Amino acid sequence: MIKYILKRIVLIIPILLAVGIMIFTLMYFVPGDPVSIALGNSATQEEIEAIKTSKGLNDPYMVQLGRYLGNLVFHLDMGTSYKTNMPVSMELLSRFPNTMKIALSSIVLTMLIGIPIGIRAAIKANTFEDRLSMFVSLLGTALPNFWMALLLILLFSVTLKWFPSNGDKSWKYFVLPAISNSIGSIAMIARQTRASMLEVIRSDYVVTARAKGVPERKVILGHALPNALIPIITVCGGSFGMLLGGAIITESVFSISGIGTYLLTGINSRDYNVVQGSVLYIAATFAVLMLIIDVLYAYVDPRIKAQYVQSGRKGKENGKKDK
Amino acid sequence: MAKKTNKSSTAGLKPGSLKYVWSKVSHNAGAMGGLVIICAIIILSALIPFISPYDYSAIDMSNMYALPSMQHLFGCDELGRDIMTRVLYGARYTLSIGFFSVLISATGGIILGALSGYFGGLVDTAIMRFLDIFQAFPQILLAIALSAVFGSGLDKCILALGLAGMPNFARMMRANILGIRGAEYIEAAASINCTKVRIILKHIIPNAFSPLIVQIAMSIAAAGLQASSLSFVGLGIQAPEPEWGAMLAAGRNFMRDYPHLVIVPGLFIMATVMSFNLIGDAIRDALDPKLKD
Repeated sequence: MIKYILKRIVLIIPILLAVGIMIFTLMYFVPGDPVSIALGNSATQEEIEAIKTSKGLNDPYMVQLGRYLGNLVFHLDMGTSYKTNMPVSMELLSRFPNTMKIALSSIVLTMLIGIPIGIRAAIKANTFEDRLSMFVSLLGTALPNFWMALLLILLFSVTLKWFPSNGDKSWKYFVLPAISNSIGSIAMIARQTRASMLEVIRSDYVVTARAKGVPERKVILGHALPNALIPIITVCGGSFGMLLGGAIITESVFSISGIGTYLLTGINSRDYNVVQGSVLYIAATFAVLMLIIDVLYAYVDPRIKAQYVQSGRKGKENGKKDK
Repeated sequence: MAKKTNKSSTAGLKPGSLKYVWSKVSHNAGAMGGLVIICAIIILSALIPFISPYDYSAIDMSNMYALPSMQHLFGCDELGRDIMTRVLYGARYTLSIGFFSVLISATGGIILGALSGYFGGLVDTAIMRFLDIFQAFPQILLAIALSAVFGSGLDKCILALGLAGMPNFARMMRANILGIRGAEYIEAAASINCTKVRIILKHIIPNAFSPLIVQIAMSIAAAGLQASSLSFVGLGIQAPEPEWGAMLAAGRNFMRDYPHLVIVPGLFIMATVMSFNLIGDAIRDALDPKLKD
């Protein structure tokens, strides 16, 4: 198992390098020039050219790419912002916690609210309660998260004055971002949980469990749910990406200084290093989240775990024990 | 949910055929509701220059922030522009972005996925590893990065969203083809001396395509949602064009006093996305052999 996890971590590296090359290449072809935007209209052409040369922006593509990747791999250096002259990696490091607060709290909310709603709907299938919760989650999947954010601000900040509408000073500032960001995935998970619970709830082992007098609570949580979890985890994996991406948009609604707002200001000022750094950071985070999901699969499903254990053994003993 | 399957309506039709799917979907209240909403939005947005007495860009300072009334059904925005006219013009953006970006991602993805699944080996590895790079980001981040490169505007937004959605289709098509290639009915067809061309045309393609129809409906919804997110953060379509996300971005500065500026465009986004999702759901149910009556 540990071997498998290590293998997966090693596999992340070439993907991130490829992402780095791709995003560098894309940014290289973006029209617009970061230096003249950073210096403003008063700068002369000579000043702009001088700075561009000193920053190596006039070098050929391959030279620039090589330098960028070299700094990235050997010094974990993502360059400096053309606008503020601050190192990008420092800025990202200080902003990362805010983005993760939104993303992780949305993930927790999604699982804590979405899965129970789905289970309840499946148990009460085709009753009014089921229909109501499924209708609400149908609406939820169609809600744009930034619109939800605006509505929550209108209700909870403007009218009720319970939570602040922008900033990132204490946990109170993250309540509305987390809710608005997670509504869509809560709805998605609830629908998926209901569907996969309904599939297992009719199966023979559930009937057997009931027949031998296992309490209903244990039938649902002990027998049905573990077997329904695989597709639910798959959807969770998809929604992690959605939540991480959604955090970018949510940050900009609540003016939270996270990686998303950094990325968007970087795009507007053509600050290549900022854009590349932010994208790489989010891609790396995403890769780690996906790894966690894969490991979770193994813990939930003994069949998959057995595969890993077996393939590990297979490597050691040259497939002798391979069934 | 509301699955009213009428036995007689599907009797005699081959499961999986278009007629069968349609007869199932047409008995699904949710899907029909969604279809009606989408058709209504399409027709109204096409006819809006003739129905509305206002121009979507005409500034009217005497009607700044006007609340909904008989003259202005949804009120007016911060420059006194009629919100109903703007919202219905905005539908043109959202729907065309939805349809055309999915056209790009479906065509590209299906070709890549089919090549990958059919040839296997080196081609498969090359295509799939290439797509891995694209799938290393959340889709919205890829869309943001691509539209940063392409710039703003309708065509560029369509291209960015189309490319961002391509890997999903490719993966799905590849998985479908791989699943079908080993299926028993292909073996059966081959064993009764069916020609290769006939197997591909009659068995592989129809069976690989039907799950994609669901994906297409869902992707149109997702693309519309992403387009409005992009416009909301200042990429995609930009103000003063009446794209829904851009309208929300412009209205949010005034929403504390005039909430109708942000409520109406959001409702339209939600209704459109939900309608496509409902249709997608119904098609999936109709294609699911487990739910056959």
